[in-house]
Amino acid sequence: MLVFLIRRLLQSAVVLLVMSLVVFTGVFAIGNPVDSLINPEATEQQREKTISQLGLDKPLHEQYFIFLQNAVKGELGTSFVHNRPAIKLILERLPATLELTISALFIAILFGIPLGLAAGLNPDGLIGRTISSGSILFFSVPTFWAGLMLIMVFSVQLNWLPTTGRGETVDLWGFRTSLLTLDGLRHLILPAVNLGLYPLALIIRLTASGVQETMPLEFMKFARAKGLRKSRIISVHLMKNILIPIVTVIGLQFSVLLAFAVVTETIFAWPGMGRLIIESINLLDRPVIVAYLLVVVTVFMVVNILVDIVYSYLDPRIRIGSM
Amino acid sequence: MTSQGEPALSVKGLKTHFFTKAGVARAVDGVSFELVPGEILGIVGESGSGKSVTGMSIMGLVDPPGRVVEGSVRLAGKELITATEEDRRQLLGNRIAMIFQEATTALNPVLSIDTQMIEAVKAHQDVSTRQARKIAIRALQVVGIPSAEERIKSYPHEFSGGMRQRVLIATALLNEPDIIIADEPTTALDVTIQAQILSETQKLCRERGTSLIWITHDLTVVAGLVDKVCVMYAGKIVERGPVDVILDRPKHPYTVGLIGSIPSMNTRGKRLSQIPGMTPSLLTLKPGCAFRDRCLRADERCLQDPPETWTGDGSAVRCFHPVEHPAKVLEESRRS
Amino acid sequence: MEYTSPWRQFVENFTSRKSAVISLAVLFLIFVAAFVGPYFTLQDPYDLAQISILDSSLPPGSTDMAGNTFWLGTDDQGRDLLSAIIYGLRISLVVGVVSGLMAVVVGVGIGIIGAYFGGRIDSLIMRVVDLFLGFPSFLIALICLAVLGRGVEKVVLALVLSQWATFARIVRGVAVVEREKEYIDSARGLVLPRHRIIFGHLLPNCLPPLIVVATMNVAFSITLEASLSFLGVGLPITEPSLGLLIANGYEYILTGKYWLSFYPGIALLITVMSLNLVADHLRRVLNPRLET
Repeated sequence: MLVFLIRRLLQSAVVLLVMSLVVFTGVFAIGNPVDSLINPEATEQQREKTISQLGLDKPLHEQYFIFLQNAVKGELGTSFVHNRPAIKLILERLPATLELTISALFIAILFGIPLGLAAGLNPDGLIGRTISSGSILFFSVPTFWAGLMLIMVFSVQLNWLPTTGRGETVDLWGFRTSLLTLDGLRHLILPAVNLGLYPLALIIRLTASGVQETMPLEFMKFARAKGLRKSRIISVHLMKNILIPIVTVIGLQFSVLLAFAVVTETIFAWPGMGRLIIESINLLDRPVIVAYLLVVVTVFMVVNILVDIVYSYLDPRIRIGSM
Repeated sequence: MTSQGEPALSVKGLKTHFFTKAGVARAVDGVSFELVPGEILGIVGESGSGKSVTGMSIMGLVDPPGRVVEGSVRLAGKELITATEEDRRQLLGNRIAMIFQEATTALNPVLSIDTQMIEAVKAHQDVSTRQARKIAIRALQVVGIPSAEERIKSYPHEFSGGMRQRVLIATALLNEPDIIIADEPTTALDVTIQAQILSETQKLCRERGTSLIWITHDLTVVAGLVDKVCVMYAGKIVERGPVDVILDRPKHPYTVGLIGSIPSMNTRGKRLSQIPGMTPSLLTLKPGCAFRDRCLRADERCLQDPPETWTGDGSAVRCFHPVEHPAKVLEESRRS
Repeated sequence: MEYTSPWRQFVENFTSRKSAVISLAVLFLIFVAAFVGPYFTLQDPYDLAQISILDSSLPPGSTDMAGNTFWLGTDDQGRDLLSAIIYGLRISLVVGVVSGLMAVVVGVGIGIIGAYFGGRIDSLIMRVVDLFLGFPSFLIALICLAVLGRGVEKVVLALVLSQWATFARIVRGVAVVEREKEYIDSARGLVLPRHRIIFGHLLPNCLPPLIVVATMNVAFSITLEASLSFLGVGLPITEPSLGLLIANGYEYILTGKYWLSFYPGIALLITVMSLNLVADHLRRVLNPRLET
């Protein structure tokens, strides 16, 4: 287990290094932030002074090494726009984004697995067909448009739920969360549902096809031959088998959702890092973009390691030592 | 053992059909037999003869597109075919248990052996998990699994094929059923282990007075093991009776052919006889005797369904031209 | 038994489900609307001479003084929304289809290079593929556009970069299986040149999964482009795709002018959904493992 963790962490470090090089070169090679940062009427001297202050006059590889040295110390540069450490800006907003993403995933799992089970157990019935078509609809509906429609129906027409912001938050272990206040939850529902539609569709489809593939297998018949109750056959014999692919997909979906949170946060003015990144892209605030990417990549890696651990608990055929 | 009067299991006119796109396959087409308590019955036939589907039909485990369309299965007087789901559930694994063909696929790969055995006990007995585990460990010891207390915590993939098969047998024994149906539980194993498992299972059933139905394609397997034999061909029992009668004085040309294709001391150096032709497709089966296209004795009468008739030897046969001197017939078929 | 050609069998299997036929028909109508439609619309929504500020913000079904009916309403500049949707649909489809097809060509090309040369080149390529697949396509596209800026060719490039790896992986997966297969060996025995093996054996076997995934990817490209354009990092305002139309309507959603983003979204949804349904049925027909 320890060997596994160390090996995975080393692998992750290598990927992070490669990523940082690619991202750094990519982001820094093209686009000149100076144009958007410096007053167009500034004199040539002022221009050059700012450029050297930002370290932009040095050659690319030197800039990269300075960046790496600082990165090891946990500094990813100072935002050109906010004039604050980029990593701080990102980490401040990370909890809001994680809260949104995890809530969305939670909703998708909470509804997706039972609906998928229902669809998979009666694939030709009315319920099964309705759920399957519904999942294709959710699968196809663009996230941003669904968000607008949610606002239109639930906020504008029905006036049930608020449209923007996080609402009232409370401190929980040093993070601010909306999960513990009624107002916060009311603000969270629409964005979480919006972000959760796509993984919901995915989990429904995956569960349904898992059920249909598992039901005809011999061990399901053997479970019946033992005289087990239907509830036990489904909740233990069936579920434990279909959970394995579902966990993998949930892990993958987490990174997709983290990316798509950019869209949802923009629509619902959710103060997470997704909104920050869109602003930074529009203002060419390079350190923030780089910091965002590295933080996101780190989160992906943590999630992947967690998925592998959960996986090995679910599937006894896989031992963590052999990975 | 209960009174000799009432059969432990009685199957009457059982018909199981598969409704496929290509047509209706009559996998089991009017099968009847009885089993008295403690008796061991062999059901013999080639693959596709309907022997496995018969076992599955008795257990009520036939999945669509298959369906039991007719007939009755009575377990100690209780009708199974029309029983409610819950009534049948209470009998399955409890009064009647099944040993599946392939232990590798019959055990759930992601659940440990103890989970899979304890649940089988608790489905039918009101005991604590600890007691259920004890019962399970005892059953594993009975079927000869060494250090059962340790090994019960393992997962199926951590066992060898033979050990997995023993786990299935132990699972069938858990609730001390009256009847065990074993569906070729040894075909995937090598010969020495097969023989071992066979004789052990037989011994266990004899000791406990459990009735056993042993389904196999291999007539040699049943020879030393069973009391009675049913020979199945294309969904029907073509011949049934006490094992000695069937082996020594087979009446149906198909049974004769089956016996003739077994190598033995007497046939050393001689050519083994073969049954000409192939097993008919169940989808294109015409009325009449299904064996007639492969039978040297067939004539126009065989275009009709032969009824089951009792012979003087105590066996029953479905044939208009039963064989009187099987040795002669075999000799002829060897020459041709 | 009667011989049926594989193509005919494919058509028969595909058309055996009603929803397959319907979704294919809808898809066909969408393409017709997008490419023939612009000749029949009420107006060229981007010719300022043809729109009138007097018609601004009319709800769906309104008729102006000249007797023109705006079935889906107008925007704040008096532009007919139906005409704008038909023009926008064309842009969305062109970007989606072009980038989808280019991703297939690039991915398959790189996959074949790996399969052809094998060894180090192959493993290097697969490392890169894995790196790309480790990131959500949306994120890759977003970062590309952050670097490149807005523009049609830049959006296409970003979409290709974010999706080519999937196709390289498919080719590679099939190549590994095919390499093991006997007939490749027999083809080698005949001393066929390598390119004959690749084009005669490898590509035909990649085709079924490629067709299915490419169809889904066109749908996904259209969604991605719309999302990026909505966020203001995709297409420029001069190329008003469906995503930009919806973004435009976003400002008015709180004032109750729902039609401005509702109808372009419906058009987007129908397009994407019919593509996904067609892909679903293609998968059903092309992959015999799923249907016995």
